[in-house]
Amino acid sequence: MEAFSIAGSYQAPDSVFDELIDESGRVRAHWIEAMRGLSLLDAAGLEGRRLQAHALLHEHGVTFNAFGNSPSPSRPWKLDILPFVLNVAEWRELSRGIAQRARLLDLIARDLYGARELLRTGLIPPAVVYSHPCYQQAFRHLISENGQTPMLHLYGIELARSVDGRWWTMADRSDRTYGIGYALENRVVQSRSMPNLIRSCRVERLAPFFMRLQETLSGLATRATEYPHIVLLSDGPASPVYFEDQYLARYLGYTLVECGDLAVRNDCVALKTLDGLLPVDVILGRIPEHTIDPLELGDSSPNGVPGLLQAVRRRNVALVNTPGTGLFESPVFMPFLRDLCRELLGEDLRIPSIATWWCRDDDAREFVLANLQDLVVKPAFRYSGSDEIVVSDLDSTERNRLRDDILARPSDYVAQEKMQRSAAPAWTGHEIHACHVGLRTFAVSCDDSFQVMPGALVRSASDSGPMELSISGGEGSKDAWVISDQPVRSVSLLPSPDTPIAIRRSTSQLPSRAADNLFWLGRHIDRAETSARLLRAIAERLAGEGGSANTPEIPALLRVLTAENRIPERFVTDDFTQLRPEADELLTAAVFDENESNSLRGTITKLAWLASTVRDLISNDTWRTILRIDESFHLRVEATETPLADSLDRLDSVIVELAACSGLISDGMVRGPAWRFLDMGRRMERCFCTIGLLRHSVIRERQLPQTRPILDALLDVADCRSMYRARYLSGARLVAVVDLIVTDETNPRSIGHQLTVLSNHIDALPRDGHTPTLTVPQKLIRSAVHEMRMADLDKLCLSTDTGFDNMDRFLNSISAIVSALSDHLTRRYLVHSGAPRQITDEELSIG
Amino acid sequence: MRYRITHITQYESSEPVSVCHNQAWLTPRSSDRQVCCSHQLKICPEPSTQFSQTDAFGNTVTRFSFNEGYTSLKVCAASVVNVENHTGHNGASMPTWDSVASALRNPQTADELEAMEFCFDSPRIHNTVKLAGYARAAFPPECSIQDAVVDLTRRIHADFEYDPRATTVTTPMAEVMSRRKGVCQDFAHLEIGMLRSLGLAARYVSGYVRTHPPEGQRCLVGADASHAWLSVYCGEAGWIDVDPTNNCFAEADHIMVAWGRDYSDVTPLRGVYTGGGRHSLSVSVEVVVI
Repeated sequence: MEAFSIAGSYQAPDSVFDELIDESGRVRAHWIEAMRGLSLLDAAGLEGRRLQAHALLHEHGVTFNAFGNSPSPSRPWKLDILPFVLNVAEWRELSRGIAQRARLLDLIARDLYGARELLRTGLIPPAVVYSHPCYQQAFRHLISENGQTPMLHLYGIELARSVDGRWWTMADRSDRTYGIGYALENRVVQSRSMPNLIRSCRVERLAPFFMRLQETLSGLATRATEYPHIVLLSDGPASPVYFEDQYLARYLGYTLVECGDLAVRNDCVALKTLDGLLPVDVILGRIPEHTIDPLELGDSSPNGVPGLLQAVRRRNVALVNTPGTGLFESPVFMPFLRDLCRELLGEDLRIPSIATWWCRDDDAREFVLANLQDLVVKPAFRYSGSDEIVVSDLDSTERNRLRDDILARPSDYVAQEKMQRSAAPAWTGHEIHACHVGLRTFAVSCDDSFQVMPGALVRSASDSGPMELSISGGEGSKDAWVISDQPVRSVSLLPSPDTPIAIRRSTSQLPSRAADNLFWLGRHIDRAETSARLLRAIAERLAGEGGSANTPEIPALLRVLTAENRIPERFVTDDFTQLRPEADELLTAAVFDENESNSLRGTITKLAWLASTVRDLISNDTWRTILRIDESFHLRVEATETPLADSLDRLDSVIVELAACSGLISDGMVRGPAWRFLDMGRRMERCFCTIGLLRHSVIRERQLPQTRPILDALLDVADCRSMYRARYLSGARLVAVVDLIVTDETNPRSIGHQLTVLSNHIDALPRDGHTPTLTVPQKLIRSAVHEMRMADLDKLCLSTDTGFDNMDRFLNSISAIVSALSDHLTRRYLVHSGAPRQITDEELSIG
Repeated sequence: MRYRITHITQYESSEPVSVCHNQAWLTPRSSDRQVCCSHQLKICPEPSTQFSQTDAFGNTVTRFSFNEGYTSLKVCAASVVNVENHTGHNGASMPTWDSVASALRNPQTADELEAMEFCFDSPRIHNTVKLAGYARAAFPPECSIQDAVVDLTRRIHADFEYDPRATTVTTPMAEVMSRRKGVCQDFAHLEIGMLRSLGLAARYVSGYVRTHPPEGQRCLVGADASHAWLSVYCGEAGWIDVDPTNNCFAEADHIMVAWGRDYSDVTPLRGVYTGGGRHSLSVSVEVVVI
């Protein structure tokens, strides 16, 4: 036997099947090539590849539950660089079984939502279906009366191997086929870190499977069109699998949409875009089926797309999977599949379900209660894999309580055999050890059968016992290699270099929601930058001198902070020294407080969230920069002797990073509608910030001698100090400062400059029809530009008893116009209609 | 008895409703007890789409939507229905409730299979221990199912106060149970839940009831409302309709529109809309003998 240097420390437990070593102590044939290649890399090489793979994952932003609602922060995706290896003969056998099971479930679904013969013949007890909370009346007879139309198109399966080497189905995934994108991402990363090994081992490619998926989805379009419009319907950034949604949409070339992006008109589905409503032919649904239509699914679906089910029913849109197929995600069907397979397909079930007992059945319940200790108990009707109870982990009180629960509501429980999962090698960082694996793989419908992905998402755990049946379960993930017995054809979803390509200058349609998020992302980038500069200006002054008489700009700057609700009003006082060190703490809070949405921390959290929603529209580098800003701010500043000085360091670096982000956006983004909306957001925010800065600092100042240090501070915050020095070589004077930061259109930081840029953007937006007159936003921005250009500087800087009244009026007027502009743009381009609301006759008294 | 029923629902909103999707269960179904002779659903303004289909329970559901803005929507359902006068309930041939319940545990006949669908929890009706406890008193072992159901209906009528202000359609059953107040729909849901908790099959019936006018007076237009009662599966004796709000069998005075597992399956009119600002809603139902 060939010895592999790296396998020295590998030892699988006796009680489980060993994927790597056979009974005679030899490495299994299909592993040899891979192990040889891995050994050549040796430990240091492997560790290098691991680090490389991790860097790649981090760069791609692969996370689970990124920016979700859960309290735990986004969890990075873990990939073990040792692949899981299967030989092709075994894989063929498995894939026959997977395709068989998918066909079977499809037939069962067609019957249960159609003729219900299976209930009449007793092959499925009626109680399984009628008491199933997922069996929705609205899904019955949805796409065909006679059950001729396939319902299941994309199917996922959870597999585990028992000690005798047999594969078992742990769960069926027929609604939320999560994991398909992670499997792909794992392969992409793996082939980047060991490209030669993948080639020399003749690993089957995943691309043909995804091409099949594209063909199947295109084939479902009912409209006669050469290029059906297919969208991937995501649950949005709060979804734990949002990364996967984005990744798949990009890979398959589909528009990523959320429910709010879709509208139903005349029983047809359309995507709301900046250019209006675009017809949608096929929806690849990645949201739970019971949440898709608030009209028909009512209480369980407050969001959803109103009218979607009727559009599906009238065959104007194809939804994959057909709603209703999600039934099989619950374990209660498992005990009946063996007989159903014989009856419906005339075959034996090739991959058996893990032994499952439904406690409603008297014999089953008796068995379960007698053997409770060795079983895993689950809710019968819920998504299998959540709420698993491993009975051997319970103490005697808990066990008795479970026994009582089962006796009180037997229908609600199933019990399953406890599977001892097989062992495979895993890389720890310095050696190979054994881990226990579960496979999730996928099948897509193809004519009358299913094509199975030659690969899988493998999840690994150090324990052989039950592993949570979700894609995040276990401790790490692996790529699965199916070793082919012949040369592997190289195929890719990317067109070959020889294919002629039509030159295009525009990208696919921009959904209105994405434009909305880009707009607000722009606003938050500039808001964060101005806030950081303002906080830095204050912190610098407090950390330095902190006296009151010679620093009149501190109260002025604090007034700006107060106006933005960052600190309480009582801190705005001329005798500021009294209030320290409380003020220092408050200032630190204004920077770092996570619970305060107005703090800089709050702004950055929102900024990163918005960026995550438009991840597919901004460059990778921009995304990475934003991620870094967010991450560096997550680190808390501990209470130190010098909180201000520490804050200063952070503020300095965040200002530099935000500038880098701005630079990446202006250098790297195509000048299309996406960039335009982001830039409009930035320009408007800058107008508001500069106006706020002037109005709350200098305008109410009556004593002219005091204004000079305030003006200096203003130049700091507006980042115009060096520009001013270069121009005037003298101390700050109000007229000159106002010209520089308000009216001078050649200064990229001035309000005047923002307005002229906004004017260009607005002229370039799509318009209805061919009206020769100006649109409302065009009129608004022109009036603002006009007012700016006509302003008389000397008059603006005229001081009265109450301060600079002329300037106040002028800035108010500009601010009002920009606000109106923002409202108009939102109404016209970003929201095609408001949030849907329900009406029923609920307010009425009935009988 | 021949009735003409006019059911008008009217929405007024302060601003235009831009898009609205609706579904309505307003078409009376025919059964062995009644025949729907004519039915017309008039919707004003004219909807952009309108389709009538048969739902999973054999009721007619109409789905309609609007793309053009409107501020006023009127849905008028006009029907003529013949209702049989006879009461087919012969107490002597009634099975016991226990035998019906045990047959439903292992359904053999087509009727039993159909009834099974109404044995379990549904979106608005959840089986609770309290419900079963309340019902037990009316269901001694070996008692005729009809007698037991009549007794339960009488108990609910006696123990619960009819109070239109006490609940809304969204009030949970547990609250109705503890406050002992509600409307027809609450009582129907309660009794259905109790029967199901005993292993029996019961379905929710939506419809209209003719209120008997005092002698010498005409029936007041709009005085009647949408009504709800329930239907209980009684083995070979078929389905029996009882009305806990009025403590009676649902017979010649009751005109059925649709049945389902509960209110959510057969809501007379439900919609999802965008725009519209504040809205107001009024409903009138007129049931006259012709």
